[in-house]
Amino acid sequence: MRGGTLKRHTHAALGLLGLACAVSMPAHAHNKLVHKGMPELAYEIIKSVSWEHAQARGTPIGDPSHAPPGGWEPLGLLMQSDQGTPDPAWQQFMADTAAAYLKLQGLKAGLPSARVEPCVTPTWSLPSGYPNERIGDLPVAINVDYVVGSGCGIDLDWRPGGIYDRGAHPGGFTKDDATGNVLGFWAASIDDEADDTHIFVKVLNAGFLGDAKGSANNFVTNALAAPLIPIICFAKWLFGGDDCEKDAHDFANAVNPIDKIDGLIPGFGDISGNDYITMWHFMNLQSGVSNLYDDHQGLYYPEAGLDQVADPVDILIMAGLGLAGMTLNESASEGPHRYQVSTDDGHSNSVGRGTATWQFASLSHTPLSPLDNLAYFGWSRFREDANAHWLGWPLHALGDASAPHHLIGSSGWGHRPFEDAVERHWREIRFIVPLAEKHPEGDIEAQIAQAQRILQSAFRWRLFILKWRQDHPGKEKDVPIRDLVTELGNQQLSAVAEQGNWPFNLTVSSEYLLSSEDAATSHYDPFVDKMRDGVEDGTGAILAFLVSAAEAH
Amino acid sequence: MRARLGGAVVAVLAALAGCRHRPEGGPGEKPPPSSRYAEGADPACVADARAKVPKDAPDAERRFQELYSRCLGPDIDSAVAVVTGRIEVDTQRLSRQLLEDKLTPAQFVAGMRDRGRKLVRAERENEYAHAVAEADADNDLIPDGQDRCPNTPELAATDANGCPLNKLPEAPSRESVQRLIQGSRFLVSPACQGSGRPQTPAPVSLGFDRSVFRSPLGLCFPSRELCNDGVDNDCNDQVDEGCPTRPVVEIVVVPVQNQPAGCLVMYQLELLLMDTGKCAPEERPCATTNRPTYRTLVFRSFEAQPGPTPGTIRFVISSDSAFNHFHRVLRGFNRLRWRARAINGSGHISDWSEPHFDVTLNLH
Repeated sequence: MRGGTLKRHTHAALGLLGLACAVSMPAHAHNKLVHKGMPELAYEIIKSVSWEHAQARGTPIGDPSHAPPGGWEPLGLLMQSDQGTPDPAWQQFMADTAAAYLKLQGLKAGLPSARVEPCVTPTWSLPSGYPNERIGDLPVAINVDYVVGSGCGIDLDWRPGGIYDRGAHPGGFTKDDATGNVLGFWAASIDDEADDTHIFVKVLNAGFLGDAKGSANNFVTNALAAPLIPIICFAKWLFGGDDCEKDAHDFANAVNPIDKIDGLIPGFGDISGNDYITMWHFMNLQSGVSNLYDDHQGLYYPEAGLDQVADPVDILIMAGLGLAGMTLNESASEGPHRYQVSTDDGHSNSVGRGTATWQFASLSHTPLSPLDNLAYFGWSRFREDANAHWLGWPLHALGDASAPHHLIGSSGWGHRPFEDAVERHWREIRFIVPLAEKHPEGDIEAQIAQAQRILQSAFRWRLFILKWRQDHPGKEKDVPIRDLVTELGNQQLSAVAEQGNWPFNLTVSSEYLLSSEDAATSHYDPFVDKMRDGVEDGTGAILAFLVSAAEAH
Repeated sequence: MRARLGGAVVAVLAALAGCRHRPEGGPGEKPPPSSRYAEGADPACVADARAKVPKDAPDAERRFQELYSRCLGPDIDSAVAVVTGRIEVDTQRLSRQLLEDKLTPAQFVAGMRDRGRKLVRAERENEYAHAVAEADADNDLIPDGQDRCPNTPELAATDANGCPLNKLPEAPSRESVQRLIQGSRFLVSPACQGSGRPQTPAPVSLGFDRSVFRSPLGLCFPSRELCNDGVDNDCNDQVDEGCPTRPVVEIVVVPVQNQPAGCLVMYQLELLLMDTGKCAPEERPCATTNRPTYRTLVFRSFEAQPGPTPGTIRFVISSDSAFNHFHRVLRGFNRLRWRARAINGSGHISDWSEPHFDVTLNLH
């Protein structure tokens, strides 16, 4: 997730606003757990299918290191498709999925060298040629902060989890398969693409703060903290942060401000950071919106919200952006250059915008490029370079296309509470029952059933891709990633509409900001099964994408 | 005695270079994006626009924004600039009036959508932009020649004929939006009311203060989490015993003095980081250099300490995390130029100081 409104520790969020990206504090975005978890789960299913497929045919997979460990038992994933049996298409899908296993392991990991060398842990040192290391050869698993954190970023305890631990090294990672781990890492890392968005504040003759003071004085009790609050909270309204107002006061008393308020003050040069990255992670799929530059617009606040009814949070963000004159710096930002798409994939292309068009209006009036274009950026690079890093963009986009609020272009309507709730219940979603001493693997039978459901979903998405390939001669190794992301989003949005639009709530985002984050998030506690439905279908799309992407090289 | 700047910077940063750090390169490591202007617009053009519009002139903001829009990109049609500039002014006014509870959310949303539509129309229909620029008496962005309602109220959304919309969009209640606005305490520092524009702060020095050393200078200045871990974190060929100390970063400026008592003044330092490469002079320009990059630091007046000389103040960066971040910023660059300006709690901004120090770093 849920990239758009990732919950962040406020210090991280604010640090990321400061001194641009280079001095950002680590962003422990909880929703990274979900972004990382979906590809991890998809890969582990691929791996299990591959092993079962080989076992069923008595054919070993590659060298012995790719064989399942002793004691491994099939999960029974080679079941028949729900279309009936025998089904040649399903059987082919199983074979293709099995083949993807080794191909994915053969991708370049694309990882930069560790930030700290050697790691504190004496058992690991830097291999040469690390960026070009095959994923399957990586000696260690990594955590989500591998690039942005300040430590080694390795995770010696990583395991695939649940039923998939049966194929993992007992007791944790020593030399296991980190492919899913790395794919998940790259998917989550897109929320660290700080250079996607650089913002400048338009020069106002009088200065916007001065203009606004008449409206504000009634609310001010602490002169020192007051100027910081709107700006700090503003970041939170956009995409994250904890306990906004309290931290604003803390900052006012901070001894060392550098990692807290750098660059926060509008009018002060370049504003960048993780909190603004996810403005590119939306795709408004509703009818009736303007779609001025793409077939489906990205974030465009004047038309934000379910049925274009803005949440109070959307309105306040729009007013804040407009009042401050916060404007995308086209030449400094990667986003406009990455996510305007003109290609021959059969999907509508972007209407190109130059520097002035991007900058004429503040972000309150700037339609941003949509999520499917973000996916295409990475995919287009991956076609040229079999490097797992590039898969991060499409994998991330498929994750966000499974998050309903990204599909109505809103920062409100329960966006953050919903995604916090998905994180809160992630282990329950993933392992069906929370892992505990009594359930060290979760609910085994339920997880197997979940894997089967994901495979059924993946089969449908695989057919979607194959149909497109059939219709586009010469693109037999390509993936219609923009179509895939868009269709996944459409189906997710339709599914929640059929269920009464349960994720969309016009009051809980305000509640989240003004009173209790926990209470607001708890609004979604009864909906874990529905959350799981969305995650599973998204994971199915990711699995189908990975199988198809593995064929590109 | 504090050793400042110049030599201190060189020595400390050279020492820092002794530590190994994550090398750049690969798809996960990209250079910073190029930026035509750090603040989105041609500064010379903006200065020219400022000069052409006296602040106390009637309709100064509108006139300024019309000129300012021409600074936002190359080859901008003057009429398009006029329309987009007006829309920016309207956007600010709509936003302000919403925050002041002078507009309902529905009126605000209608106005924002209306200006958004007209913005795109101006970009795409040159004839429309010129017609609006030439004659639009009621400022509704419908040319007078097409305007069937010539007295549209300010900021009202209109139809294509310039008549106010009969129906506003569905929107949240006024109470819900005002509750959020008030709950989030939008702006600002009352003590600065009536203040004028701050003076420009003058840079004096930017460097390292080593007077706080309690043990011989290490090389890495690791975070304290790494103390006593049996590893030589500070690269002095000895396993650490306790936490090594390190200097603080010290920034000295001549402060702003023309602001009311209690008025918050924030000092912005803009650092231009440059990399002239580490190759021999005869090999320059070097094959691999980082592009010049701007970074910003902000300090607030109440964080200032007395400066080393009369009439100066001093800001320091002393916490581990802040220092490490600062170090990370500088890594990969070997020259630094900086300047300063001030903003007060009412949003008045001083001019930039002249670019000051041109410090030679040694972080390669």
